[in-house]
Amino acid sequence: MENFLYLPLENIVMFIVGGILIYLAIKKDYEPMLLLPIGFGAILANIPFSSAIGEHGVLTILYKAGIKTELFPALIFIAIGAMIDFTPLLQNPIMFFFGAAAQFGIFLTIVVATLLGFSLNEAVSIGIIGTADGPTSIFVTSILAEHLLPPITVAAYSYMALVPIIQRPIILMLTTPEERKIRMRANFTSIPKTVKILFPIGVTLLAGLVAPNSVALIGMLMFGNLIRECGVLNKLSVAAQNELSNLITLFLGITIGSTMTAKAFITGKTLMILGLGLVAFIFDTVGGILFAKVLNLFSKNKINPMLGAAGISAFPMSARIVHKIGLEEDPQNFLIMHSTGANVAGQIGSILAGGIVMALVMGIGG
Amino acid sequence: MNLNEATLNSIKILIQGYPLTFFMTLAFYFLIKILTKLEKER
Repeated sequence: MENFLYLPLENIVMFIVGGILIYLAIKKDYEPMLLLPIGFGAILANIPFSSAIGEHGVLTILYKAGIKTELFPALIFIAIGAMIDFTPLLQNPIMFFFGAAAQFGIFLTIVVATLLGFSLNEAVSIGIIGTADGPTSIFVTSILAEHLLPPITVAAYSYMALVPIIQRPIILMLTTPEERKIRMRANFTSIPKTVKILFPIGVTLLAGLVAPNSVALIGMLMFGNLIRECGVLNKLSVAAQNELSNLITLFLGITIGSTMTAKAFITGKTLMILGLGLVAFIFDTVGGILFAKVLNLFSKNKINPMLGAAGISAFPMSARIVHKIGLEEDPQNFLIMHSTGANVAGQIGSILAGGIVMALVMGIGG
Repeated sequence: MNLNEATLNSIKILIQGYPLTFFMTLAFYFLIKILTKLEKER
């Protein structure tokens, strides 16, 4: 009963925040696998004298074991790798460039965040929201600015869920109806199994040699993809896609939620981080679309510039919204193969950008 | 306008990091092209 008397207002605010996340997960279907555990974790962490957190609290133990060590994000990438089919990208490798172009928001947001007074490490962690990739955000932030983990994770997953709402007006604003009607030639060439097997190995080697910081993530992603494509580890592939994915997601969400204590979350910085995360997503989209437009200046075969927007890592939301807008403009314009290619390229591009940014900031001495 | 050290470093990250991300995807692009070509010739 004493707890009712000592329940501070900010803890009540956090109960509401947790409740909103649970509401969004259940009612709006916004990233329910993450937002629901995060929301409930936030409630658990803000009950005064909660035994779930603290030195012997189960959630703190999970945090130390899975987040502080970067174990959970790395493991979740094995699962993601096992789920991804890179065939649309291998059929249209030009889509790879959109996976790079649409990382612009990360880099721009880092500059903006430092202008707003954040330290370089904090700014990089905030910019990484623009990877549109929760595990990468958690991975980088837990190394560079652990104290910002709660708002950055919430921003990353919330905006990922809101991708269709965020991207649509920007796509419509930056492209003309004629551009949106551009049809892409379908390429259904079958990709030999050898290529599918050598691709994850080659990407790991190339990325690892240039940005060793990215190996923990891209290596795990590509390992997951290798067990999917090799054809002899079906049981492991299925386990990674289901059991591993579900279990880590469950722990990841509630553990992140448990860091959302009122003291850590109710600060002026949280609002700024939420705003900057949105800036990152917007300029990712802008960067991808404008790059496609620049390519069209030099290319004989015009590319539908909306595909640039699909170069962010939020899979498959981004690919779907581009395809949908294409159909609205021309019911016979099927962009899904190409937009999926750009979208999976974005998954590689975002991890790569995360690794490169970390390498650069560590080189600077951040 | 005086920029603080963090901002100057962030601009450095922008100037180096964004093109480097492109450079890497260019490498992946050629990786796919080479792998596909080699497999076709085999």
